[in-house]
Amino acid sequence: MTYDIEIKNLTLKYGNFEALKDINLKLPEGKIYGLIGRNGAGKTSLLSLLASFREPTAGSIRIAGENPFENPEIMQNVVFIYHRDYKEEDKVKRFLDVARRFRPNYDVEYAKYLVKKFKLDWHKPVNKLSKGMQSALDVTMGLASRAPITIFDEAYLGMDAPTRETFYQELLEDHRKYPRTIILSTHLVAEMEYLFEEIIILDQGKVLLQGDYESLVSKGASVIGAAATVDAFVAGMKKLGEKRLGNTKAAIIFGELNEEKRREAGRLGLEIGKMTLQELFIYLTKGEENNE
Amino acid sequence: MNRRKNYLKVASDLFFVQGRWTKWFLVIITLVYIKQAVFALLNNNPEEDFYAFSFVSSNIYMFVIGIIAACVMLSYYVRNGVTRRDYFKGALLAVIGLSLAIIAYSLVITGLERLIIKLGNLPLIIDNKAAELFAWTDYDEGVLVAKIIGALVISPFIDLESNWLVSLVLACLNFVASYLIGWLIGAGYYRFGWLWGFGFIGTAIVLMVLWDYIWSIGFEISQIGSILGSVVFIVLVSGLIYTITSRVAIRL
Repeated sequence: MTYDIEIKNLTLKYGNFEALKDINLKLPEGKIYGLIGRNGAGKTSLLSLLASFREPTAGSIRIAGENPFENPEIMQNVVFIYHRDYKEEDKVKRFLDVARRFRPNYDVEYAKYLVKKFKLDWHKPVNKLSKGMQSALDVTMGLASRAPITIFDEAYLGMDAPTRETFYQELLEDHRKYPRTIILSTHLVAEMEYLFEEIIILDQGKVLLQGDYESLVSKGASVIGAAATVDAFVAGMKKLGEKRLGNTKAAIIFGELNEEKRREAGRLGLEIGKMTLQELFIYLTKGEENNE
Repeated sequence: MNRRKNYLKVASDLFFVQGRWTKWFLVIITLVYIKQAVFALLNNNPEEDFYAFSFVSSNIYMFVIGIIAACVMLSYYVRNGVTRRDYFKGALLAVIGLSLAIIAYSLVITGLERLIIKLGNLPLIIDNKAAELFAWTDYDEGVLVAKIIGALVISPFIDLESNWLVSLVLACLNFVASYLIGWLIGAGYYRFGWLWGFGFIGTAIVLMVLWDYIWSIGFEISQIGSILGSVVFIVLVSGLIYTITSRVAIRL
């Protein structure tokens, strides 16, 4: 069974509020996806639909060619990890035991390894763990379940930087050994971008962009030089933003600069800078706001 | 293979989790009963046996854990990849198991009690007449409100010595029904929120009165009729719970 995800014309409404608007996406199995978007962009709504927490208002989701909602085979193979404030008095051991019982690919040894790595105490009640430790426990459950579709929705909340780094390293390492679809929804774009193979940017309930990391990032560039020259050069290109300092101007453009254009920039004395995903994300989602 | 058995795993999980809560409940009512029995013994008062004594509180207990379990457990299992349908089936099996376990416990304690009275030749008079009343008919002279309150607090009970089989069947059906009515309220709140949830409390009151009606009025006409009626009642309430929860959105 191949756990490809196919989303068609997906709409989700809460009363009159449209959280997701006509989403179309294809996520072939096996990649690490970065789902990024600002607060309220609809990330969690989309993920909760994938995890069969709710049904869409319109449109469809297919996982392995089937509707996942109330589908036992699919649901047990989709893990959705998000931060919760645990009130349970269950101990760490019992907490993880549920995953062992209900997740077909759960790896007990790997869970033990992660518990040790994250310095979790098997006998500590879950509600007594700090926020960061609860997140580490969530992540342990998510990774050790080895589900064909594993979703981490800001699962790092409360973790300190070294613990987050451990999480990222373990995720990469385990994904290399057991390739599967992992969706990472995050605000920490700069910190996590090296994990992503493919990016989906959601903005105001719509898919703004989807593409593989390299090609997406290479589409963004900053053009720096004399204001008039920059303006002339970027005319007709998709401009995301600009900054001006005296007579010098930096324009952020989106769209592939071909070799010819790059050579032309060189002749004109313009400097072409690379963009990070974080910068692109900020400019792209800010742009939407300005268009309103 | 794995998925077919998911509801059985849910059933055994829920049986043991709720069993742990129930253990404390049973310990407490046993201690309360012992205190009461000793008091009755010292004052030469008649006393109900443990079976009759535990019946009313067990019903209320089942109702309460029905409310709690509905709210907490459904989202827990869906988060762990279990379908709502498997949860529902598992929870239903668990409540039947739990009811039987409570009955088994109260039979054992009641048996022990009889044994102690006999062996110790204790002058404790066991009298279950007070418990064996049917709320609806016994409040015949009263106003409707009194009847309803009676129906809510006191569940139909038949003494073991009157008819042990009907007594056990009635106890089991009663516990299951109480749990289901609690579950219905919890499910209603979970699905529709607080405002509409009040409507489910109203529905629960109507159902409790209906339950007493099935047993008090029905019982006078036909015991089998009452048993069948309550089975139909249980099936209908279960169906209602399933309808409410089968596609419910899980809160994050």
